[in-house]
Amino acid sequence: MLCSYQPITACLGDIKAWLPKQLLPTALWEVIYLLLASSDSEGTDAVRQALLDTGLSPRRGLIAYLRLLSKVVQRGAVIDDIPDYRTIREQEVIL
Amino acid sequence: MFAAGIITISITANHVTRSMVVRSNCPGTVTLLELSIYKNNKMLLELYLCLSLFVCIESSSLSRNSVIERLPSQGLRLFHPSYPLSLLDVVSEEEASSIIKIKRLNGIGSTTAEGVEPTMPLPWKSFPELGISPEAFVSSKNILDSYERQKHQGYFIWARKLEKPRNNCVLLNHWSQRVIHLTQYSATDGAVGYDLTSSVDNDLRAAQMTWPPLALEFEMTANKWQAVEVSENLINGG
Repeated sequence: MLCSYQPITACLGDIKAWLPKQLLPTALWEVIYLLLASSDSEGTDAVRQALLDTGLSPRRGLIAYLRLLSKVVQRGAVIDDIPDYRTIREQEVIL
Repeated sequence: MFAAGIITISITANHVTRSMVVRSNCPGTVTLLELSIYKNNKMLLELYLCLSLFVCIESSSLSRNSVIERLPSQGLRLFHPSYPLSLLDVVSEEEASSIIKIKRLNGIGSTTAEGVEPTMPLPWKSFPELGISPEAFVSSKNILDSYERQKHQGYFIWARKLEKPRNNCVLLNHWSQRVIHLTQYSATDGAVGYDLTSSVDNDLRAAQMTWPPLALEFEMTANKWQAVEVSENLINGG
């Protein structure tokens, strides 16, 4: 069989490889939408914060995932000013 | 692969040397090929093709300018798979040039190549790639410091709105959250696109969309689609 074309991946920086359709079906749209929404000069922070506060699809989706990550970072800010010697470290104890 | 060459020929008594300077598409990279043709009296006996010199000239001004030319000056973002929150922050031109320098020093592609292999796609795997244990309760300072050390492995991405559709742009439908890659567009012949958010994998016919002449323009007038130009790494690949 004569094959005229061979599909290859030519671009090394493939973002879609990190965004599987099965788990994040609309992630590509969400990425582009966030890029556009953040590029607007007016209301940028308000739009972005509204998206992160509510999430377009709370159960799954990249924006919901970003919302979760932002909450993790916010939670980590609680111990920012606490010195290391006062933090509680979980260690495995072998008896 | 784009290459432009300059050939110079120098002739001595019995030795012909052709030097070819090839400028590749890699910014700041110049390859010098030397083609030596030896003559023995009247007969051409041997032909040597030798890669005599492979010169990589690190010209900071040349490489920096040629890379920056391909990146937009505004709205540039960095997508790091271990810290996707980074795509919300605008990368300045100075910061982008410093990241490109670090990428080049680490042997990572200038604008689109990656240093992190997609061993496990998103979601739910983030901070381990930054060197943070998933069990540890870390401060936000640690997270941001780890990201600062690893952000040169991210991808530069950008998007900007277009007034009219054109070849290789994407069409967004915000209601159904669809992204169409417009591969062919002509005002007289119509348009052809592929749904990048289609759930049917490996079936290009199912994902293909065609518009007869002026049909896409009518739909654009009805605000069904928004034309956007995006970076290549958002639409290429599988």
